[in-house]
Amino acid sequence: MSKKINQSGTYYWYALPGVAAFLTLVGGSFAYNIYLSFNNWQGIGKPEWIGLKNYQDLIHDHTFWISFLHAFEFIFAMSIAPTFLGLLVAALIYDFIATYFGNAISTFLRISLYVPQIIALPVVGILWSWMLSPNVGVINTILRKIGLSSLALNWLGQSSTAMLSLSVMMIWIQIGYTVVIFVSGLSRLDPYLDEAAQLDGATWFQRFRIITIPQLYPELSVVLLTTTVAALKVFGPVYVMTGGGPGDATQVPAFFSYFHFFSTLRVGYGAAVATVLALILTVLAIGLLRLQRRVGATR
Amino acid sequence: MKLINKKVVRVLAVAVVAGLATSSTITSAPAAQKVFNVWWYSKDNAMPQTWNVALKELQKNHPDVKVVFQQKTFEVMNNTGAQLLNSNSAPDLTEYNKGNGTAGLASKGGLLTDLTPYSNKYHWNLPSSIALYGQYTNGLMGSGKLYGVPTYGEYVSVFYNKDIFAKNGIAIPTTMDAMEAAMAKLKAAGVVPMEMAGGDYQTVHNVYALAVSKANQTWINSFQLFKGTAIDATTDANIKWAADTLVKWNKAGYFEPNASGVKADDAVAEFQAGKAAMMIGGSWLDSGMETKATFAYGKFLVPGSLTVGSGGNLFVIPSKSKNKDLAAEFINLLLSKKYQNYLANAGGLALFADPEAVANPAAQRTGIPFGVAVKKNALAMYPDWPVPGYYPILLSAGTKLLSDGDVANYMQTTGAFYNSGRPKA
Repeated sequence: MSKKINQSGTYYWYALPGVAAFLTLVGGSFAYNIYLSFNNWQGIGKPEWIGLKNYQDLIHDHTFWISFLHAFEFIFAMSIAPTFLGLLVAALIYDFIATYFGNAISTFLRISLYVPQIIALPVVGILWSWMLSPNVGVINTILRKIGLSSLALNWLGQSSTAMLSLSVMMIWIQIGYTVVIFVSGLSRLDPYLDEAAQLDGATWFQRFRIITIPQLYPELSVVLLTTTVAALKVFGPVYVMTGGGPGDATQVPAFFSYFHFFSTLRVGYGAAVATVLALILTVLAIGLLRLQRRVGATR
Repeated sequence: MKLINKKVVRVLAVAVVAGLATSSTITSAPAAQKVFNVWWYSKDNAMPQTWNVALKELQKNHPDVKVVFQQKTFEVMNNTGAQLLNSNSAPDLTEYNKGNGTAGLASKGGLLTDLTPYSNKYHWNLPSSIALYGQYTNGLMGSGKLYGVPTYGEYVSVFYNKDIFAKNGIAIPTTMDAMEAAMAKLKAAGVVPMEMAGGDYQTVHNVYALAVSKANQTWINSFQLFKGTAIDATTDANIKWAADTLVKWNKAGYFEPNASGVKADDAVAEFQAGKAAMMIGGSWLDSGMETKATFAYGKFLVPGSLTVGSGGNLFVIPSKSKNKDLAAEFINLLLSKKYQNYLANAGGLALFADPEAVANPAAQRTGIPFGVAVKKNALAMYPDWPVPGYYPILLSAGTKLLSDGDVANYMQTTGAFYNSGRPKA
């Protein structure tokens, strides 16, 4: 018995590099960030301790709250919509395309859908900025050509459509990720259950809803967790496409934090935003993991 | 026994892995050749063209030195310049953005070398209206020690399509009324009067160009250098007039449609393709215009008192520079008549070129209006200089202003930011 404990104890040594890296790279930075959030600092010189002042300012900062509202809107564009669509597309690819058109076509479709995940975000941003350009962009040019000029909007140039435009782009990017995970999940499932239900006369949709989806819970929870966290800390698309504008129509917390870190040089304030964002993300991630465990336990 | 062996092996394995992981971060010092690190921004206009030639001369004069050039961007240095200058990878000499939020802050943080001794040694004798961009006291531009030197100028003016002007019988406007009349006439003739990238820097420059067309140097001293009576930017008459005028022009259809969604590259390309009569743009567009415009073009100053413009970006010597003397020698080369004339002939806005030495018509085209502005002491600096982080606010608010025409909101957003960012007296 004691032999066993002793033996497993030595395994802790293997965690040393990882733990050390985590403590210095993540833990250290996070602690330093929290420290900075209590200071007034311009990035150079000596930080000046001001206690909770940054957090008090934050509570009264309209842009900060707007940015969080947008982060939750991004949960729809980056998490909920891609999960829903991805599930549907994955099922179509797996059940229909692969069955009737063969593996080659289904693999091709999967790869095509995954391409937006591979393209570097700045390239995606330039591509979409160009497509969405109001007067010379390809989207509006096509809309005008087919007689839908009234739908040829100033996509990124007005507050009412800027968020929508970014959201459509994010769905396009994210769907490849969800499809790939769900297709691999589908291939893991036991085909006998499905066949038995089919023999009993269940329709495709009934089988999808009652047999397939419950078996995909592990994939669903992983996808929802990772994409939700990604949505809350979204930065790249906003940085590349709109810079948070027009006005603050597409402002998000991570960009807002960056803005204060590097543009206004109110580093302490930017740190306070980052700290609040990190806290919310942690709580949310723990909540989602708990939910996942509970769903897993009841099955 | 066997167990202990296993344990020893495991611990050793971990130690080796950890050792490998850390050793890769410790690099041995390179061989001791003198390396001169230089940074600047763009690659394809008159300035870097001239600087490259000068850099070759420097290299020739110092064969023992290895010159290493790295290209940075305006945005990178604007956003993270202070951090870069404060790091151990700081260069020996770099182009850097003038203004309180950049060079000012860096000088206050002790990141820049005082160039006054070099200025005395080499007898630069910079005129005060040029030196002020490199002078900072307690982080504020305008006077004090010399932390940077501009070697060229830049300004924002109106590019116009000579063919369209001639076809519609329009003369170069010299008053704002004539400007508006010209735009109305062009609009009536079915021509887009003005190219406007409202989703990009053009919106920031256009508002300021209009504001300073109504302003005087006292206003500039207050707005930019915080001297004299403080400006309340939420209600300032010049800025409000500029915002009102921009909205008025937009509603009158003087800009291309959907201006708020247009990016600068697209707007410039449209103007170069002859699709609009005018475009308010900076002198950094000169060389592109020269090669790409499909028609004869000219330049004139926005009618009114002052012109957006200044000495160009600075050359600074970081405190962490390992070759300060060499860096100063290079700055001295750039300020010499030889390279000032070279710059002017390459189409750049040289500060100290001999007019008779400039033969190139393109150089004259951009140099003459600039000379007028310099001569009447009308350079009004740039809109985003006074307070750190002003530029993105001006941009997003300007884009919004063009999309919804809400002047009150624009004044409140940009004005409150300016007011809270200005140094406390």
